[in-house]
Amino acid sequence: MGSKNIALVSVILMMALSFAPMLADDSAAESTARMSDSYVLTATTTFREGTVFRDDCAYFRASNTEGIAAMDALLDDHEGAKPEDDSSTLRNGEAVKIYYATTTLNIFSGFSIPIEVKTKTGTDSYSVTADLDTLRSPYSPGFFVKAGDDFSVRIIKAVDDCGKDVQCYYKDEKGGYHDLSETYKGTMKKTKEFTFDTVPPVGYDGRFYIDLTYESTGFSTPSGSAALFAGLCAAVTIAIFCILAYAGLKPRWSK
Amino acid sequence: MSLASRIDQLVMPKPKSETDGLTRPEDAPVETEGKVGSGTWKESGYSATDEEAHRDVKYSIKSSLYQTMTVFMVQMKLFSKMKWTYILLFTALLIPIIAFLAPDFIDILSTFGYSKGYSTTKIAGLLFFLPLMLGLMTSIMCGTQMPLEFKERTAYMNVPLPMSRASFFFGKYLAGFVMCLGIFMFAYSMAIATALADYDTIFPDLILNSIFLTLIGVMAYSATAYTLGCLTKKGSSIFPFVLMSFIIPLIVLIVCSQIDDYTLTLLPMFLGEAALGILGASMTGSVGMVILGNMDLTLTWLMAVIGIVWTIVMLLIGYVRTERREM
Repeated sequence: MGSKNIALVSVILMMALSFAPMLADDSAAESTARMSDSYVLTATTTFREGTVFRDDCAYFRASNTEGIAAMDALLDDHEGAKPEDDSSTLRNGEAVKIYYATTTLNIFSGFSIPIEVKTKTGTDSYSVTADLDTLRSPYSPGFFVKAGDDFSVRIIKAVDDCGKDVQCYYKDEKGGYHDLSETYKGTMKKTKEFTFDTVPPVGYDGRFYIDLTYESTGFSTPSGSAALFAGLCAAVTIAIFCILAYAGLKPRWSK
Repeated sequence: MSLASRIDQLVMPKPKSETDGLTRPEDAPVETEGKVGSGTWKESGYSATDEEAHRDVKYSIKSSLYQTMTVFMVQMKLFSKMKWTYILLFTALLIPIIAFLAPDFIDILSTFGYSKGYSTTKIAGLLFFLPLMLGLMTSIMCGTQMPLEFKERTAYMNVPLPMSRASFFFGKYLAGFVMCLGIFMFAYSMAIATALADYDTIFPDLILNSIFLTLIGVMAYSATAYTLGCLTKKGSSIFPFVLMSFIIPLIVLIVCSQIDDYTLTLLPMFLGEAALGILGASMTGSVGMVILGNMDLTLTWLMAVIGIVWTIVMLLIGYVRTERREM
């Protein structure tokens, strides 16, 4: 194969790489995703006897390594089902690991986790300092839109980890609110992630996750090989520096 | 012996021995004096074929392309001796080093609106200072190219050579452009390779679009720096950088915010921001970061066209100045 043919095949391949994602079918089929709109803090403390009633906390005995591992996996992988916590069987004086969901972080409060327990005599409230090394940030479902692409989205169902329905809305650049239970259509002027907000829960601070069922069009998923493009850029660089080296070695051009 | 024959003897001396290379076999016919036949030179006894004597070879000035490529290679040789070439390369090499030393930097950038979880936004984050470097690197490589030729008097060495000024001008520019492009392609390969640690797939059309905008940016920035060097006596590797990366963007920023119309962001000074914006960057390490949010990235094709026109106009101005320069 001659150098001209190789160049031609390379150009066709590169064009195919560019246009294949554009030609990909934008399915409007129903999809599912899990999102979080809360920070999750953890702390280890000694439990005081009573019935835990904060919905934004999850409690596990320190000895329940299986439950703790399942919770960590859930938060790290953004997938799976929330394991049942130990709150109904906890006893006074037990070492407990607490997970706490919050939508806001106040760094001046020392990241304290509020705990409330119902005792025989009434309500006992106290707090423990969170372990900052295990702070987890919220994550969105990740609707990536390229500049100039038209898109549409409708949230069919949104349920949080407590089984409560969640209302999702989008606030546009002009400050208008759009209920995402109805189809929202738009065009992106720049490449960015389409994100939306949720109506916060009543009675407690945050929630661990929200399971979404939605239908959408126009969102993109990566499909090209990163290694191939790193190689292509490296090849161009090497070619240019080969010219530099050649020019440096060849005495004919010396001044 | 006449004076003319003495001079002839001096210029074309007779061979003293076989080692002179101008041999004549003992039995070879000796040409008679005055006969200028094929393969002979009067009474010298020297004979050569047409090929040896270059009789059928036509000599002419090399093509413009050949001249341009020769100047290009000369300039590339000069670049190979420049310490800045290697310093700028090292800057690009810092990308993976910083990424591995500070793996949480994308989390920091997420507070400025960067999306987490996408390879292209991570690549954009790694190339955070690309718009600033676009101005700085092209300025260093191209800003003093032409003034140095006159300062060091090397430009005058080209005067007696069969070389047009156009070849001299464009050959040097081409070398500066290719050198800068090499550095930025190195930066891209480093950024993509670093992103490979976390992601296997990318958006190829976005990456190609970004690289294309960077290429046009390098063309426009290096043409501006090169032409400014041609227009000034001493040249500067800082002034083009300040002009393209600070002065003009700041003026555009003020004008755009006053009239609430961001059409001026289509100028080539914002090609670096567009190259990152198309990847999903919400801000960049440059003056343009303030208006990146207001840029319309659906018009990148128009930005590219304006960038190419800007390059051509700049090069024409520089060429006319070089052509009219007294040497």
